[in-house]
Amino acid sequence: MTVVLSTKLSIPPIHSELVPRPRLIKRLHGGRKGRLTLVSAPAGFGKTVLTTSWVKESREPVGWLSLDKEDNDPLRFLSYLLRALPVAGDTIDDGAIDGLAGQPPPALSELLGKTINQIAAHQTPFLLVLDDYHVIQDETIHGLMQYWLEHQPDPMHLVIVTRTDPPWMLARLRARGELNEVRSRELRFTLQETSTFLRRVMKIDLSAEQIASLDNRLEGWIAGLQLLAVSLQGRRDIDGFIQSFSGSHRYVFDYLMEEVLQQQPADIEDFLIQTSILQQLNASLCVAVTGISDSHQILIELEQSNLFLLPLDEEREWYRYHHLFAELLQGRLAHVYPHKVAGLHSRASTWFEQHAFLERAVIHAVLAGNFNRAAFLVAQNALAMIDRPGLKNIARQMDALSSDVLQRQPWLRVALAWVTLYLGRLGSATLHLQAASQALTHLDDKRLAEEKHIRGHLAAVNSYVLAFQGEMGPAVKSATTALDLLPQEDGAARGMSAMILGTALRWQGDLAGAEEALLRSRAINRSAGNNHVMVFTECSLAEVQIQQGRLRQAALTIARVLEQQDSQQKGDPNRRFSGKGLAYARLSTLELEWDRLDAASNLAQKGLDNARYWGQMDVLITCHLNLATVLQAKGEIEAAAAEIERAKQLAAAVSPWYQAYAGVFEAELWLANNELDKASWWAEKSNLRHDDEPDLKQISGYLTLARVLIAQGNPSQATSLLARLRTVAESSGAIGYVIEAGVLQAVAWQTENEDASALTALEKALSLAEPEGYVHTFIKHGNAMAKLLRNAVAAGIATTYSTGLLAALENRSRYEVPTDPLQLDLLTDREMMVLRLLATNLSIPEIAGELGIAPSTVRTHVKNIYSKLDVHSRFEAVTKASESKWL
Amino acid sequence: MTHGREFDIPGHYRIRVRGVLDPKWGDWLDNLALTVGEDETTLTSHVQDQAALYGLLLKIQSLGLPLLSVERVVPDEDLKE
Repeated sequence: MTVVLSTKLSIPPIHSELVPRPRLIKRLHGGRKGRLTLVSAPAGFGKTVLTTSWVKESREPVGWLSLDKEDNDPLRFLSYLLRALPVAGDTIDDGAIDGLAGQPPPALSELLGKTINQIAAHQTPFLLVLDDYHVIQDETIHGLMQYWLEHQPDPMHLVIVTRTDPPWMLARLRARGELNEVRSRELRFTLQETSTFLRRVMKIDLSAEQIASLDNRLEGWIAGLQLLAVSLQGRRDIDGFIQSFSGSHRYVFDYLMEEVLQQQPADIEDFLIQTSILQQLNASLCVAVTGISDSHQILIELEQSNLFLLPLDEEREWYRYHHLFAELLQGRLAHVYPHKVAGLHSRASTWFEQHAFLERAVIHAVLAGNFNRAAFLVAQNALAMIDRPGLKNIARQMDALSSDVLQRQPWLRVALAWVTLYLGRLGSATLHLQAASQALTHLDDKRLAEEKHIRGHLAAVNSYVLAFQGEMGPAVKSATTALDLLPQEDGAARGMSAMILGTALRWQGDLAGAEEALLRSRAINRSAGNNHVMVFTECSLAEVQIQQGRLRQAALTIARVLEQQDSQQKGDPNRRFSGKGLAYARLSTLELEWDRLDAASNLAQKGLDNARYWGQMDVLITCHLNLATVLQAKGEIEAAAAEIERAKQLAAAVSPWYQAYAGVFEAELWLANNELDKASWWAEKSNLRHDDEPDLKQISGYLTLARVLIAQGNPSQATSLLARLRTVAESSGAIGYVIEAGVLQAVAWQTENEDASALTALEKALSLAEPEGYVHTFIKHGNAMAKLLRNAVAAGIATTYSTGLLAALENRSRYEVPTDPLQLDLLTDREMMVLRLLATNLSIPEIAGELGIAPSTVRTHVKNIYSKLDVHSRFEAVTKASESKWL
Repeated sequence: MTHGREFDIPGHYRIRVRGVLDPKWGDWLDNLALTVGEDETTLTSHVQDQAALYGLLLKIQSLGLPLLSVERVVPDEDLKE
């Protein structure tokens, strides 16, 4: 658990005696009635100190959130915001916060709405403070905050502490008397306060004239005054100092800091300058960076002597420097020890890596100019990148740097290969693979172990690419190679490789081999703590179990991994897991099989929302297809067709094999909709023939072909094909397919009036299916199945089960869902596509890249969308569209 | 008149702030030329584009120096660096 979390949510400790500022406290109290208090002034005006004093006096519950640059991600921001709310624990349920993970932006405003209602019902008034709001620059967040302010429930009062006014509609709030402001004019120390500070707090004896002279120069700027006070202590010629100080026009802080630093013993000055590169410091980190062993003692002294070292927690473990002070120290560092800077950052990077603060480790590596190490850290965690958006952004930034040196870094290429792979851009991934191979030839001979490691990653990426292309045999080989090359410590890549190996084997029909590889992956994932790789592995395992006809076991496998993900996530709002979409989709399949259509539908939608937000291509395609299947079962043919269309578009951009895979689903839909000519056309176009020796890799295609044959009136061709399918399935232990083939055989014989054969086939299928409660596989055949089941009951075959299936069948035919009455054709297809992409967090150029059009064209579409939907921002457009269920 | 392209290429900006800054600040502020007046400093910067300009202004803001003016110097003017 990172320490950062706890310090962000706690009210900063007050670290020294303060000048009482009753007039300001009174002013703050006075504004409590409105919605918002804004404390806005440049650095060094005592904003945080004042706010802290105020809230500590307050009798109502107070929530505090200290913001930093990394909070510029809407999900992370909201996550922290909700956690910071001080309302009694049971009101804002943890489920709401955890449910934020993997939700697309429209759901964010829904959640805000829910939260607002809960607060409104709660009654107890409270304060929420957001400190350093000026670090927030993300438009979506500004939009969410604007929304929040407009709908803020009565019990809550928001306090914003910032250096710049937030880009909200403040004028409106001001006009309505809802806004209370404390600005630099109010915050500056008065002469009286300056006097109190110097005499009472700092215990420096000065005359009224001297104080007046200082006040004239400092103009009540608190940070300057503090520094001045420190530099006055222990000085002999106070008057001389004051005179020259007052007479100078030199930048106050600069002038005084020189003085103060000169007064420090050399080792303290060194310590200050060297540690100025750190955003947050603790003793251990300081020792690592400076090599000064009594860092801990120094920190304590610095805090006590009021040299701008602020404690971040009550335990006094973590500190940070006052912003201005740090910036000045850094300037000094660059001036005095420019050659040391890289080394300091390097040491910091190492410490952070050892203590698992990965983002900081990367940032410091980059600042040290050590791009190779930064790229290595990024690539090492390339697979974890999806879980940590911060790293993904860093990778993007590194990519944008594009200096020749950087581009030749093999690790960076590896990282980029993984990222593009996840996005389904096989072409790009392959290019990065080639570039990485190239870069390896330039590698030093001494770096053999590293070279092997990189080759291991390349083999893993390659196996995934091959699997995407349907080349299962080569994928198996490549994954095996990867496992040979990758070192034991790289649990993420090894777990991933074993997962790909298992999945490829599964596609090949070697279910036993697949299970073995996947269990191996599971073990690696557990000990390495891999998160989304874990989900993929478990989902692949569940898929094996489904094929083996072990439905309940599959459901258990998925339930376990979801539970585990949820519990891990509770501890850290910074983690979100992409693979969850896949888990929901698999669960949805099971619910569908068990004829729980509402559950199947909800899970399918949930899975798709999650997958869409993350944009990982194969998960996304799977979720679209899964949703299509559920919609089809519910009789929503048009909606199902739309999902398949989307899946096909995405799949087409990936590989022909993937496209064919999606095509099978389309054929199934046509059959369900009695569009036999289209289904026949598909059968013709596919490479599948009724007299083929089928393999497990294409079994779903063959099963669909059989259905087409039956519909075309060629039942005997179907039954012989199905017999061969059954044999293949049986020898692989794929009981699920055995059942399905058996059901189809029964249907085929039925059409030929071969009742006896039909019944025999059905009986076999029923006996295999009953223990696991299969329903959908039977009843999706509608009336044909009804007749068969009645015969079965009459013949006393599995009577309870058959009767149950008949009832389910009847129920299904009454299942009608009204189609969405809204004007679905308001937007053009293209505009609809752009709107869906707006709902992800892609930028305009990225959307343009996705669609293969120019950014300016995208902007035109966006403008049209806004005007058609009558909205004025991306956020509004997406919210409106999701309310109408277009998304 | 080109709409925005002329702002995507490096340009010169002259920024004046209240207070006298030591020349060493030129380094920290990313290689600026500093000239000082009686109670003000003029920073002359060769910024890459608008985004770079705003980044620079934010740095200046973090020092707490009141901003007096920001002026774009047309590129073909003669400037000492």
